[in-house]
Amino acid sequence: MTMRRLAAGLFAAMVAATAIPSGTAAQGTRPGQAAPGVEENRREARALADILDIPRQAQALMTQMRVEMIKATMRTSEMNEESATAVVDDILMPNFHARSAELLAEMIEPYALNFTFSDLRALRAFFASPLGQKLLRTQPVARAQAEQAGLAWGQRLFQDSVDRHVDELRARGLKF
Amino acid sequence: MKITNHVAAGALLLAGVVAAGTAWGQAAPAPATAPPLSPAQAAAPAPAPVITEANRREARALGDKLGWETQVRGIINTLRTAIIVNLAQTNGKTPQDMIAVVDDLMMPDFVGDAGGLQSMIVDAWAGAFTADELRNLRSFYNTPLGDKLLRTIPQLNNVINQAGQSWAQKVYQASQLKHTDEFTKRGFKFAP
Repeated sequence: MTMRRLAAGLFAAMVAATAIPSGTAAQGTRPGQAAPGVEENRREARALADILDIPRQAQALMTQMRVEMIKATMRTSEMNEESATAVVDDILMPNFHARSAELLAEMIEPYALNFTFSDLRALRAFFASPLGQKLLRTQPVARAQAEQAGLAWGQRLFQDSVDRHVDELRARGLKF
Repeated sequence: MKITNHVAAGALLLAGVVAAGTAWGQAAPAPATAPPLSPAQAAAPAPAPVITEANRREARALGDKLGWETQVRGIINTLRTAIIVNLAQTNGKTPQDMIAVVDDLMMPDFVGDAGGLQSMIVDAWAGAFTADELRNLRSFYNTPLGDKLLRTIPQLNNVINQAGQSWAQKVYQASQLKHTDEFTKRGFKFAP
C-alpha cells in the first residue's frame, strides 16, 4: 500500500485552512524547539482552532483515512471488505487514534508559528463575532451548493461542446 | 459521450480544492468538510434564495478581493486536465494525443463561459449573506490582518498538507513494524 500517495490524496482533498507565509514556514520552529513566545502563540492558536472547529476536522480526516485504508487494503491484499475492515479497525486504527493529538498539533502549529500573538487574538475575535460565526456556519453549506452547481456547469459545458464539435471530434479519431 | 461524474467531481476537488479553501470559502479556514448533500438535495436543489442586485454587487466586490476570477481559471484548467485524461481513456489514446483536440475544440467553450461559473460563486455568496455582511467581510479582508490571511492561505494549506501526510505515513509505518506478524497472519500484503 502506498501510504504516501494515499495520505497525499487525502490531505489534498480534505484539509482546508488558512494561511502561512512560505518563508516563515520554511524557517518555522518545530515542536520542541520553541522560540521565546511561541508557547504563548500555541495557546492562542489552540483557542483559535477551537473556534474554527479544527479538532473536528482532524477527526473527519481520521475517519476518511480509515475509509481509504480499507479500500487500499482490499486492493493490495485482495481481501473482501469485511476482512479489510477488520484489519484496519483492529490493527491500524488504534495506532492512529492513540496518536490523534499529534495530528491536531500538526494542524495547529502553523498558526502558532506564522501569526503573531496579536494576529491570533484578532482572528479569534473576528471569528467569534456574529459575522465570523455566520461565515464559519455558512461556508460549508454554500461551498457544497456551489460545488454541485460547478459540477453541473462542467458537465453541461462538456456535453454542449461535444455536441457542437461532434463531426470534428470524429474526424480526429475520437469514438463515442 | 458524457463526462463522468467521477471525473468531474475529481476535477472539482482537485481544482485547488476548488472550493475547499478557495472560491467559495477562501475567506476563512474551513471549519470542517462540507456536509454531503443527500440524494434528495442533489436531485432537487433547495429553492433559490432571493438575491438582490445590491447583494450581487457586494458579492462581486468581495470576489475581487478574494480572487475568484483567478480561481475560476484554475478550475477550468483542472477540468481541462480531467477531460484530457477522460477522453484518452475512453478512446485508448495517450493524454498527449488529446491535448490538441481539447485545446482546439473544447476549451474555448469553457473559457467562453467562465463568467457563468463565476456567477455561480457570486450567487452562492449573495444568497447566503446580506449586503451589509458582504461589505463587512470585504472590510475585514481589506485590513492588514485580513489581507495577510488571504495572502498566505495557499502556503498554510501546503504546510498543513505536508505535515498531515508525514504524520499519517509515520503512524502507518510504526503500525506496520509493530504488528508485522499480525498483518502477515491476516494475509495483509505490503506494497514494495
